[in-house]
Amino acid sequence: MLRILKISVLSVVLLFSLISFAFAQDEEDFMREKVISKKNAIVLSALFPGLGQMTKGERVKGMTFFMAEVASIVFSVNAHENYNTKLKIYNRDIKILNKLPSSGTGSYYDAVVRYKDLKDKNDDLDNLNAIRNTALVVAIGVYAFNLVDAIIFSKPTSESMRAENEAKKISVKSTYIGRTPGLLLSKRF
Amino acid sequence: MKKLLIFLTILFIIINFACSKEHDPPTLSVFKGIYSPDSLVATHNKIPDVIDVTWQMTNIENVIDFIVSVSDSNVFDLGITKDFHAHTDKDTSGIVVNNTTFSFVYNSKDLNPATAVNEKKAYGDSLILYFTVSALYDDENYIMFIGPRAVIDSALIYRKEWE
Repeated sequence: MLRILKISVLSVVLLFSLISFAFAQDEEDFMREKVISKKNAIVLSALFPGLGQMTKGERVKGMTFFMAEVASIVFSVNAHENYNTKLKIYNRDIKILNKLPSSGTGSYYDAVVRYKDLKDKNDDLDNLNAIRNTALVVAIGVYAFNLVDAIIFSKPTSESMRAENEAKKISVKSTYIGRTPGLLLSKRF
Repeated sequence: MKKLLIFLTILFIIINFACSKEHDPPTLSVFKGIYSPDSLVATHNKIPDVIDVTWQMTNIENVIDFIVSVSDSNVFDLGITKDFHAHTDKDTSGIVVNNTTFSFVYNSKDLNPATAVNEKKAYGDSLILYFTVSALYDDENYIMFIGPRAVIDSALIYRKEWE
């Protein structure tokens, strides 16, 4: 349980640190004329899904890839750890069941009770195995799709182009008109 | 999209093959060669005040004794239970011999501890007790192992008779 908690906390910390890093860089380098080549986007996407897309300015797509990858990895690792922990207990109980006839104090009734308990544990392990594998498939699938997206659909963009795109949107700012506070509604054409 | 679906399907198959489960479902295969007694009948005789428990068992290889269990609950193990060793015909090594029908008679007063709850609850002048029997195995595979239980039978006992 403690291990699951640790993994979850570390995943969340990793997620937030990477997100803040991506956005912080975006604000700092906002006006810098820096061409983001297709190659760089592919390298970033290969490093972790969504990074290339986010750097190019496709934030929604990038975040979707990023979140999907993080979630599926967390699910997969969590299920894998759970599986291994429960497998140890299951193997121990199987040994106890098989040694029951020669224990000198066993009864068939005890064996049946243990057998039913083991069947429940076996079902639990089956479910964990399915979750682990499915999450791993999703993680690899997201990674592959992210790479395909970076290789085939990406076009080179620059920070200044992004800045222009941002500027074309209608913006609302608080300002002073003379000494009177007011709102400034602006749009670049 | 079609290619992606094909890719994911292949990936799913590969991962399921590579990350196959490392456990097998449990079995009771180690408990072969042990049987439960059958045709268990428990009856209370008013005069004399005894409970007669009979059962049958054809395969008595490696059976050294029988254990009769009594409970005051129809959910057998949730009640107050008591076990008795039956005294059966045995050879010199203690193995039960030449019997396919067994009879175990004991005084109903012996059941007092098992019926304590029924007495407290004041069920009236009678109560029902539940019986089962298991064979006790002892050989190279089973060391003093209590085998499967027979189908539970009940006996109506008149409390006034043994007070």
